[in-house]
Amino acid sequence: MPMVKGFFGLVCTTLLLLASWTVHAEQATGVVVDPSTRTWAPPVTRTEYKDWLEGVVQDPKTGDYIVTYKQEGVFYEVTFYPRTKIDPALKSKINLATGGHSVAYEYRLKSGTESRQNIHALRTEITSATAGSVVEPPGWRGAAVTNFQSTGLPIRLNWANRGNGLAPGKSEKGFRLESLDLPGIAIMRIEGDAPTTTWIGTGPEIDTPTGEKLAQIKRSDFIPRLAAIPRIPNPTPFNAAVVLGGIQKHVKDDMASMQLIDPALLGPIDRSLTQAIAAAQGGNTPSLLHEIKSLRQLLKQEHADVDQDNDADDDDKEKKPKPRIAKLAAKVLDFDLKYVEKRVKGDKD
Amino acid sequence: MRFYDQVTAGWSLAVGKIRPRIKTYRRNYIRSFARFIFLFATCIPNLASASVSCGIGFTPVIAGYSHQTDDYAFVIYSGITIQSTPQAACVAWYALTPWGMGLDISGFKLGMMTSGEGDKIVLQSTGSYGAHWSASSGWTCDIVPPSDPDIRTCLDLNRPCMGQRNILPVLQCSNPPLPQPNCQVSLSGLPAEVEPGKEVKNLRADVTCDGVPTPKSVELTVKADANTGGHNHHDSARPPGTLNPASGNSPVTFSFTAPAPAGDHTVTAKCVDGRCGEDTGKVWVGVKDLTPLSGLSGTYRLVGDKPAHPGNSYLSGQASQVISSIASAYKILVQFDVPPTPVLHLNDASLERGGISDINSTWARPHAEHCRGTVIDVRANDATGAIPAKYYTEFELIARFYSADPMWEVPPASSVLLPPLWEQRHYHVRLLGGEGLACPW
Repeated sequence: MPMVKGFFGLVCTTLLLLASWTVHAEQATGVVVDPSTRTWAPPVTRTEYKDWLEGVVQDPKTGDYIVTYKQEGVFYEVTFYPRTKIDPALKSKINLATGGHSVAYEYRLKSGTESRQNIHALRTEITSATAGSVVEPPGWRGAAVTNFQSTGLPIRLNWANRGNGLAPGKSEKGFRLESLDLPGIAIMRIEGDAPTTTWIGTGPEIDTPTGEKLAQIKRSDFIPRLAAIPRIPNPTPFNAAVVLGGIQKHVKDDMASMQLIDPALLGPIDRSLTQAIAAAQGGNTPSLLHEIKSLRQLLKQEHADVDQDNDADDDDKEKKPKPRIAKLAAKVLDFDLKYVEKRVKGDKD
Repeated sequence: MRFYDQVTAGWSLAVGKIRPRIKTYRRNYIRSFARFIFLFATCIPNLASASVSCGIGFTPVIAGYSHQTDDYAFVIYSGITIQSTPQAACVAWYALTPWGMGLDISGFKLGMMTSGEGDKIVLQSTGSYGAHWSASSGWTCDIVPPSDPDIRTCLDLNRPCMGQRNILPVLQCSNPPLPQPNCQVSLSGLPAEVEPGKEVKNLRADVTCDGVPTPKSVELTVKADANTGGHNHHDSARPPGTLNPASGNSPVTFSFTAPAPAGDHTVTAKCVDGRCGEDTGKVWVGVKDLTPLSGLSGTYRLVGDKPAHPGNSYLSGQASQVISSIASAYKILVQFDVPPTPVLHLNDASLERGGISDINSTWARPHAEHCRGTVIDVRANDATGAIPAKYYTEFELIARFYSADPMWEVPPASSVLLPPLWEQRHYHVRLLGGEGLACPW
């Protein structure tokens, strides 16, 4: 065994030596850009002769990234400010909109006391929003715009602060919108307030290791929180089979991949949804309503208050045994089933 | 007996020097006599000129043939050098002499007779006598009398020529010596289009002769066509892309790596010996489906195009929608400002086919990321039409609504010792976030 350890140590030492041998610092003259301010004054730059090493290094004190890159033979050192120095909490509230078949979505945002930045923006992608229904709190701008990117849902939902953002310890409510589409679960991207980085040139090239590292940091430059958002297509005229199909797909694909539902519970829910869809397609309303009732009972077994009209979606951490579905997911699913039930019954409730 | 007169005269001038050699010739040629019964000659035409260098004091050696009559005879002048054109190569010439002389001027050697004089000989008719030739492979040859009076004199007197001069060819033949096979080179597999910097493999150049694949040596070249790809400038520094390998024996399988600048490119294949014609193919190098922003939009203004790059506002469809939406939202934001705030001033996006955007017409950077129609520069400095500083935050906010990534770009100075060009700062907006940024350099 000692021999194995010795050999292993030798290999590790060799690899370390090789690694340190292949990564070279380079003595050169380059430009250092000091952190810029929001006064839009020229960034303070200084020319330095020193050892330069291309890469991205996070400053442990500030959390900012020092990006060193080379363009046209010249080294540059620039600070990139991440938007992740926040500790947000987000609550979702879903209700039927008054006097129609739309769903009203409302969010309350809180910035934790541990946040080191104010909260600047919330963003997600949704399937649809009723025109003109996006409402924002004072000092914020909200918009549901077309998502022109090649991936994701068709609408981008944004709220962004026009001032300094939501300070640590503060909360804000009144982020609202309406949509005909039913709720599902998705990630709301919450961003801290950070200055836009000033690059000399365009920064590190995307196909360099430094560029790839920076792109990776930028891709996840937010704090994710779960939210109930318009996600399940709800066609007009209403079609129970289509809506239930959308719910089933969302449960199987999204909730399962986000680990919001235990596979042991996913099976019976999926089977029940299949039977409900078959009943809807066959016009067998009693059977459909029976399946929906069974499904809602399943959810209620996991969370007794799943059908309560409140915005408490914190998981009951003390509850034993642990629920097999996250509370927000259960509430969303119950809401969707209740909506289908109501529409099938002809809005008699 | 004109012929024998000349022989006698020639020999009489070669006293003491030629006679021993003639004896040797005689022995040799007598042995060969049976083999060279006919006089025939083949020669490639265009024996355009020959240089005559008459050896001073050296006696012309007489040769020739009396065939049926004495009406023709030939004098071989030693010390005469034939400098052929590349096409000229007399294949064979055999003259029958009383000693059975064989003459072979293929490669300027005399096959049998002139071991000492092989590459310095020319056959010259004696003037008005014409000759009878037996030419192989359907060749027809004519004796052309020399037009130079000095040469005539020289010949008539059968004496050594002095100095050096050019004479006209004396033996003019026509028709190719041998029928050549009909060879053709052809290119296949060339892509109709390829993106800048991308490599396309498994292209082929094949040679067939009379329909049969033939392993002839082929060379391949590529050139960029002038003023294509959005570059209204051209010079020898324009990179044409690379072919690998650029030569080889047919069939040649090769690859084409498109250069960073977009444009039309012509690939040519031909045989090294020049005997299989050539084949060319066009390759469209560029990024597909880029369209120009409308110059008539009321929500933004296009600036910055230059004669060398007249179309600098090309974008992908998605990117166009993003910047148009951003510009519209920005216009709504500022529409009631007094005094009016200008709409967004949009500078370089991409050239009409993308690729390297060499704003300095040097086929090189800097103008990073402007190669695939996914980024655009927005004026945000002290120049006319720039976004006022008070709207920087709002502009960024709107841009991010559409997933765009606005970033500040300050062009570097020409020297590291100078501060970056703050006065030229602008928003470099990645319209599709992190998509479509990699450029071929």
